[in-house]
Amino acid sequence: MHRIVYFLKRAFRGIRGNPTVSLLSVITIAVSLLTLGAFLLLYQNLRASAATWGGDVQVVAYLAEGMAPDEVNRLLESISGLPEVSAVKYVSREDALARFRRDLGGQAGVLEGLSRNPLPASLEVTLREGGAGPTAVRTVAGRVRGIGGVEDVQYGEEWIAQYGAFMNFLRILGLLLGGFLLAGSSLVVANTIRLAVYARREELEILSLVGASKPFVRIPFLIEGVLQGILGGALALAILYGAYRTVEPRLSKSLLLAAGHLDLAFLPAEAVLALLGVGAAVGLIGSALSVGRFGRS
Amino acid sequence: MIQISNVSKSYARDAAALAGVNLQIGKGEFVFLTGASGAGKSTLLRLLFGAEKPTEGQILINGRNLSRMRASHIPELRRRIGVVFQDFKLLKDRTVFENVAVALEVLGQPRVIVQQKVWRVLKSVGLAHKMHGHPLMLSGGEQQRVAIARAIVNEPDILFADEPTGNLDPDLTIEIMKLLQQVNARGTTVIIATHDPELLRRFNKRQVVLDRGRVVADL
Repeated sequence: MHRIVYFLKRAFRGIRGNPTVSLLSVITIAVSLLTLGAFLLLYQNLRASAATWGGDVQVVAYLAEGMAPDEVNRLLESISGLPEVSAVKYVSREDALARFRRDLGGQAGVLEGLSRNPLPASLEVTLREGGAGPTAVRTVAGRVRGIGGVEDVQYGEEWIAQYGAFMNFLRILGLLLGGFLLAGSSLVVANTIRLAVYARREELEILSLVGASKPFVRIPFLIEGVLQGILGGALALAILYGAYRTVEPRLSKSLLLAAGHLDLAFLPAEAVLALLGVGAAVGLIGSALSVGRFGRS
Repeated sequence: MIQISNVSKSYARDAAALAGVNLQIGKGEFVFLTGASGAGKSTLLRLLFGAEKPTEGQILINGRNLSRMRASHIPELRRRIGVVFQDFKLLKDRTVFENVAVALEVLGQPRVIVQQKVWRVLKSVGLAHKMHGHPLMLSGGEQQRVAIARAIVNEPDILFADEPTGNLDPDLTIEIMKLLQQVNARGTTVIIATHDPELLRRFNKRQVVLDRGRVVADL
């Protein structure tokens, strides 16, 4: 136990002895994690918003012509039974035509020339709120398509595909950008620690002279790196939270989001811990890189 | 205790720093390694405390072969050895106490034991009253006494000193030499590299004379 205290003391002494350089690596880690965190926050809120919008996304199943009423009822029941589905509404051919006529308004006259009603009967499926991401919509559409008597299914395929592609793009961009920045900050930490090692080479020489083992010499530097990483992570989270609190009320009041009944949320606890963990890992990798070099010299 | 057989050390392109050195030093001996600058005294000491490996030959300390020792076993060896340098090698931002305590802390000794041992060794070198001072507040002789305290606080089998009085005036030189003799009297083998003829004349001990990397006399 007193050994851990001793290592921590030496790590803190290292940070105190080199405050400017330590601050530099804390800030570098913070900038990288801030980028990563901002992407995470954006990604998470967009995903949540897609789930909210799911309430409006309807799957429409067009029925084969000339279906008997009890057949339609059976269909209604089996679709209502799907776990993602909250409501199913039957629109008969006549209802569909009436709706079409209403939508056309003044131009409804064009329909007068029709000898028969061309519109199919349909079932409009509303999905349960929350459990209705793009994947869920696609799953429900697929299942409905498989039911006998359903001729065609529409569910805003294109929109969902675009949304999915956008989210993937965001995810990859975030990972790439975050990854590069994190790799970069590992190198900065490596340099910081190398400077610290250089500044304390006398101490290290003496330690090795009196018989300190390699881990004994190295561990404090690794702790120093981890501490810098955690501090960097905390700084990034503080900035991100500050920015979120400033922007959130304005965004929530904006029409776009009000219309979507969207609730913005900050990162969940797991994501906060993960960011701190990534910071610690970057610090650890950075210091291991440079302390490894020290070991060879 | 120390057996050096046919040891050579050469660095790339330079002439050999040591060539075919044979030497035996028994337990409890007090030996001067002497010779002009560049004769190989410091190189031999560096080989003896495991800072470098010989290019050829064997070095045995207490039956353990340094030439074949893995790097991970060097710390163990160093814990049985004390080393003192001309420039003291003290940490200026630490107190006298902390400078000495380092040698015990690397062994993970409990704080109470560290305090007792450091106090005792500082008392034996006459510096217990300056325990909380910093090295820069001390004279050269006092700084070297702190370095010696650090080297002997573990009660090592062997003490190596590389020009330990090189930076000190004659009075302080004698003071430090007396201290090293006391260490020797307590059973520690002491090996001192020096090129100071006055020291050799004044302290009549075994002298191993090196010249261009070879042992030319063992008096």
